[in-house]
Amino acid sequence: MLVTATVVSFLGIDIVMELVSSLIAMAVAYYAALGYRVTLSKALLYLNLSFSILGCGMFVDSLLTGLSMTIFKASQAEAIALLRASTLILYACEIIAFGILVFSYVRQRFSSNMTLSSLITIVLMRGYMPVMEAILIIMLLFIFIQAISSASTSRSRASIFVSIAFLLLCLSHVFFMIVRIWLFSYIIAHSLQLLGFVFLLAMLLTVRAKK
Amino acid sequence: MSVPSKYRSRIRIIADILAVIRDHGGRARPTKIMYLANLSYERLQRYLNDMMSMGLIEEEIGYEGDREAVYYKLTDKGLKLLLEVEKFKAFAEAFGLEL
Repeated sequence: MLVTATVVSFLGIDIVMELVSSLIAMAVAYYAALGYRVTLSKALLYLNLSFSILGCGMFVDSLLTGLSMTIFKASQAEAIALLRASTLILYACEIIAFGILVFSYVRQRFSSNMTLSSLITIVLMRGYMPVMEAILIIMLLFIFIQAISSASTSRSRASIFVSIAFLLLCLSHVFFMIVRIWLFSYIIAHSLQLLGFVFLLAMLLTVRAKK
Repeated sequence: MSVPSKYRSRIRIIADILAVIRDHGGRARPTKIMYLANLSYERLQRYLNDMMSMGLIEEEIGYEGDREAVYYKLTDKGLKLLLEVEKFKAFAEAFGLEL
């Protein structure tokens, strides 16, 4: 009961956290775009594409989740459909975004007045799909291994931040995968996701501050 | 792991040349650049001409002992580009990618 109450009080905050994460993803994408304009490097183009798609997906998901929460009482069926659509959009964006990052590594290597039960339904009706989450976890693990290998060679603070960010994003998807069996993992997943993007922001600031 | 690619991109070669000049006090002899930037003489000449027309470096006549010698000097524009490229390089490398 305590877990349920905590998750309910967390609803709304999750949208804000995802919105902040999407803005950080957009900032990374923007910096990569600036870099591409100067260097014409394909690596930066892939980073730009990847984080633009990821940022857009998270932005749309947070907007649609917010919208479905507002219409939930009036039309539960429409709200649930909207939630499922937003989850599918997010999955598609994440798989494409992380797929682009995986491709770039591979390429480089080879050349509030709702009822308690209805609020809980919102979390459960998002329809987290374990198979999709598993695909994302595998992709993020691959990206994390690439990043940590690079960090162990360069030992730069920025590489370490990126490695931590992808590890946290990977862990967040592990917790998203088990939302149906452990509701509290929803809060942990969102917190880890936001923390992951905060590390990406820290990397961006470290790189920008470099003299 | 980030594996260095066999071929350097054009921007990496330009940045390598600019870095050699900067690391030698802002001006360097072509032979020094050729050796440290790992380029053939013909390729270096092509790059130096392109970089001069872009305003990234300037040719300067100096003295090596009592002999006249050609030096290449870094311009403000060249230094600015080098600093920018180094930031973007660090950004890409943070992800385990290279420019």
